[in-house]
Amino acid sequence: MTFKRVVITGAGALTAIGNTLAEYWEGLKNGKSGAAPITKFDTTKFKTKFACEVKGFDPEKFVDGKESRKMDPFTQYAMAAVDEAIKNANLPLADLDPDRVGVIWGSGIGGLLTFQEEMRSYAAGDGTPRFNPFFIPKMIPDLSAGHISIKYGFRGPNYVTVSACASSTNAIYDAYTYLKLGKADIIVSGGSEAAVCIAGVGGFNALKALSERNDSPETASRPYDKDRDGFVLGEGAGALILEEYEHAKKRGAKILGEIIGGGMTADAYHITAPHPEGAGITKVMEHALAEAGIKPEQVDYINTHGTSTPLGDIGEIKAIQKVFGEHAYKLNISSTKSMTGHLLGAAGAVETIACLLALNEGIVPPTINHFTDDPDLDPKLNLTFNKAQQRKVNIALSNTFGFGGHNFSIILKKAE
Amino acid sequence: MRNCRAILTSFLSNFMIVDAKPKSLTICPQIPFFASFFESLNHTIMSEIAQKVKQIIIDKLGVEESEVTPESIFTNVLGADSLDTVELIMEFEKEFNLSIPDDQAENIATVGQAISYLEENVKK
Repeated sequence: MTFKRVVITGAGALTAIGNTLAEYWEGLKNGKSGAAPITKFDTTKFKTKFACEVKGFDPEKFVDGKESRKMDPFTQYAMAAVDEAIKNANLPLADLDPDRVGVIWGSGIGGLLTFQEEMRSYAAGDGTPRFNPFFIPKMIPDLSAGHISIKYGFRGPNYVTVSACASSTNAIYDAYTYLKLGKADIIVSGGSEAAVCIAGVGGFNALKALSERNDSPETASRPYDKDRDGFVLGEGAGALILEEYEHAKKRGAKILGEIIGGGMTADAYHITAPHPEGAGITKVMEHALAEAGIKPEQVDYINTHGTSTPLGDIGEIKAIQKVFGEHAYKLNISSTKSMTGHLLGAAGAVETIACLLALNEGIVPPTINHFTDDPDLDPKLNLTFNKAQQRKVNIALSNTFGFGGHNFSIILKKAE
Repeated sequence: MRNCRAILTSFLSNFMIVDAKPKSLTICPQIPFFASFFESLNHTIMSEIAQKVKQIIIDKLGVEESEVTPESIFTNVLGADSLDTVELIMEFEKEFNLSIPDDQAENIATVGQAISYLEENVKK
């Protein structure tokens, strides 16, 4: 069978450094940090008091009041990003065959805030259950894809992928694969997460995963820096309109980039720690290159998973060196989590969108907050420290790895 | 005297929603009694319960105040689906601190029915 080609014809973003695609790209180019003290709850007793929160978001701009109250924030974020992506793609909604438009979305946790608040209410009472009837529909991650399809009438394949911090790359890769196989003409993909709440911050703190640099939130997310001490929790959404190439060409769509391959592997090692030899990560990049039919030397930019954790950062760099050999020194490598924080299930989506910036504008977003070199990292590598760099980027690769050992890698090519 | 007042109030409630909390409970002097009777007659303000019910409906269903009339059917005029009506019943339970059994909740299909039920069952 011949596989179809899959292109990206629209994008939408909602992050701590920009509430729209344009703002997000500007933030990336300018090395803006989205970290600040947490405003959503009282952090007095919490070890980590800051995060990369979405700022100034009004869900009623995208969904009417009564409907938005039946959505957890992670779904509201999804609706906002998808609204922008659909407009950005100029999708002719009235002329599309709705049975051929699907939604494959990603979220690591889904409605954590809803779950938290309903249980707190219950625990504060006398044991009589008085759960809101919308408790379950607000909480389960798949309702994000459900709500999107309900709003637009999209009747194609519809579900949410869950693979922790790899969830949205997982979604994008599934969408690419099904479009390749001709199962739909368009798939709305991406991911959203809204875990900056008591349970999220408290839970990740208990795991000792978060940075505790409370005296300097803006510099806390510092992948590859010698003094990195954990990741900064982020939230938001990234949406992409993936479209079968001929379908896009026929309607004169603007093409932002093409997805040419990807990989999926498991570490089979530990629930949270990455494999010390980076075996799963090495293989996943090799699979992606093989599927894309390209040689390592053809890659220009790698947007790493790079969460700013002492162990994780090194493992990935070493794997990149194994896969790319000498060419590793010719690559631009950067972690945009230094700016947006770690969006968990939405990270892959916003990072794929950062790759689109590099492909379209020839600007590689930086790894900000670099102060001191880590002696364990090869200094000859170009980790795009502190300032964005100009470079013609033809092929970009994005990695995301999730707790539980889920490894995903995706490769994008500049539009012709 | 209180019996008299109760009979009169329930007679009057056929014609208007009468203030659920009487302004004065004087024992017998005819003039103050009739004074508050005329006051009630002139006060076609809604009872406190009706006021709260209306506000809950406006908040939860996102409708305009003018759409909330005693005959408005929740699932029809006010656009509520089955989950919305369950949520409304729960809000009433929370606001008025009572439990509404499922078989009673089934009979609350309009604004007016909600108000009547609550006025009968809310402890004063």
